[in-house]
Amino acid sequence: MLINDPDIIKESQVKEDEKRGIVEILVHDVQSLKTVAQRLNAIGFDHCVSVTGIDLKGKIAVIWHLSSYSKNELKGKVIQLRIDMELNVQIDTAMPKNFRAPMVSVPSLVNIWESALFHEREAHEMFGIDFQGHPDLRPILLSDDFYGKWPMRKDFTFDKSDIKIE
Amino acid sequence: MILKLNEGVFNIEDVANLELSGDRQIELQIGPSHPGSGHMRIKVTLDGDIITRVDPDIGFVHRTSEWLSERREFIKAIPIVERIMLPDTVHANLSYILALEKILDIEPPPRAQYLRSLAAEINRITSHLYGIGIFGIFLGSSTVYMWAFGDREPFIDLMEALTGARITNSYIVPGGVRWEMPKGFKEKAESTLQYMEKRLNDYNDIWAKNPVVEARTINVGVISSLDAIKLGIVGPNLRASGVDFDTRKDSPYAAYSQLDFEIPKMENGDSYDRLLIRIEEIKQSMRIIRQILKDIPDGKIIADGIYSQLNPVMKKVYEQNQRAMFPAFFLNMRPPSGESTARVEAGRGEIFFYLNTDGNKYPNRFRWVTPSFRNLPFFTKVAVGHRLADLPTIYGSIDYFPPEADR
Repeated sequence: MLINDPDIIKESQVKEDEKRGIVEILVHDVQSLKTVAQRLNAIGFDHCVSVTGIDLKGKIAVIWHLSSYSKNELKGKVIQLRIDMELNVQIDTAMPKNFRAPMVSVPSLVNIWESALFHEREAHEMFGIDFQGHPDLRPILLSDDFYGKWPMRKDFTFDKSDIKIE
Repeated sequence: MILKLNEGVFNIEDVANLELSGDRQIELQIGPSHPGSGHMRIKVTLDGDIITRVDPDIGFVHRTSEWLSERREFIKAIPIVERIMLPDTVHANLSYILALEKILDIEPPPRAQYLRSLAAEINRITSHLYGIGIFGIFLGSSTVYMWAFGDREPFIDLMEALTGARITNSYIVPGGVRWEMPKGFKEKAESTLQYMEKRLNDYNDIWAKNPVVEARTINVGVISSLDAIKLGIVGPNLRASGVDFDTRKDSPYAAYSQLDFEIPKMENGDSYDRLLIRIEEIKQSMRIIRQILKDIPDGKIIADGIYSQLNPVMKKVYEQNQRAMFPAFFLNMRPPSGESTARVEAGRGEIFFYLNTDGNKYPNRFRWVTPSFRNLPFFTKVAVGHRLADLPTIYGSIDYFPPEADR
């Protein structure tokens, strides 16, 4: 077992699949997310490889992939810290129609892993994940007029009436 | 107050007022039209000519590779990921296939593993030569640019002999590779390597030991090993700071666990070290290619599970031309539900792949992170405090490739 820290096991559900390169730590709730993240950082997972979401239809799974450069025994490993969130941010009706898709709200882990900065920005614009405490959630890959459409969700359809064929 | 040079009209009194108030910050926008090797904008805030803040604005060449791949059959993602990383296609292809093979539970035969490593190492040399050439342009040395792009050509010819295509090879498929090594390839490869060895001495003379290059790169863009770890830097840039990490050694794939090679490492982490380490890595790649050509085992180039699905005509083609055609299984593939990760050391650094399937024809989640995207903190953290004239040096030395970062 790669993860045998009692604090982490208490707060989460650990699944390991050596052959497929998966070590998953599924955190139960938002309160334990930061505790587990701090614990993982203390164990030696010192940088963030990727932050992404998965659309679970009504829920969004937020996944941080973490790895280590400094600990020899952890070097070849990637673990995924995962939390499944309901779409919980209220829709602001004052906003334009495109911006009304509900978001999920999770704490940002940039304070713990600075390398997650750009990855969380990308996950925010693609999935509508509101990272609480992130210093800079401007769109990074998409243009400004795409903001709020959350294109990587399964229900995303693009508006073909905008496309002009001359 | 920050004076924005590119936005709106300002008059000379504004500048004078800024001088009086002691606040002389000016925002300068570099790009988005091709500051170097692709389209990106760097918003630089300057105090005099000292950089106080850098805001890289990327996404101008975002090609939605993840979105497209999630709406296609699994096999059709190969050309998409290849076109994102044009100087480094084999690694993009390989990383995706490794993730897919873990879900399909296919193990390629040893000969295919060696051929994968061979293609990957030839590709690493072309990628590094590309990076060296672009760095040359940034430092105003068009000679090195011409040399590097010219010397890239023999290696691209090697790839053409091996795979049938110069750049977008689509060489690696689930279960193996598509083409057998052609007749006379070993001799051709050996003569190319001998040529490159001779050329590397020339590169040392005109480029690495050049006093102008040394003056412009030594102690410019220094990143300590602690900072490199904290910011999650990858690839040669990480190793130039003295961090010992290479996916080929630390989590081996293809044939790397059977090959004998060293991971070059530098100490200072400045632009000059990042320049030298690429030349050292070319030497190591040539060493690996020689080993592969000597030790490559005989056998099939695709796994038995794939071979048995070929129809009689395809089997005949395989026996006669040593070429693995696509069985119908590739297009109708419905991998079992599950998830997998794969990591590959590409020329610019580590590619990370995360694949999530739910038993359907299309991937449920197709996530990949390219090395250039992870090297972005170089702009926001490392360039600050340098003079504006040093920004091209830092940009060139990290071998940043915008289409790859934008995906």
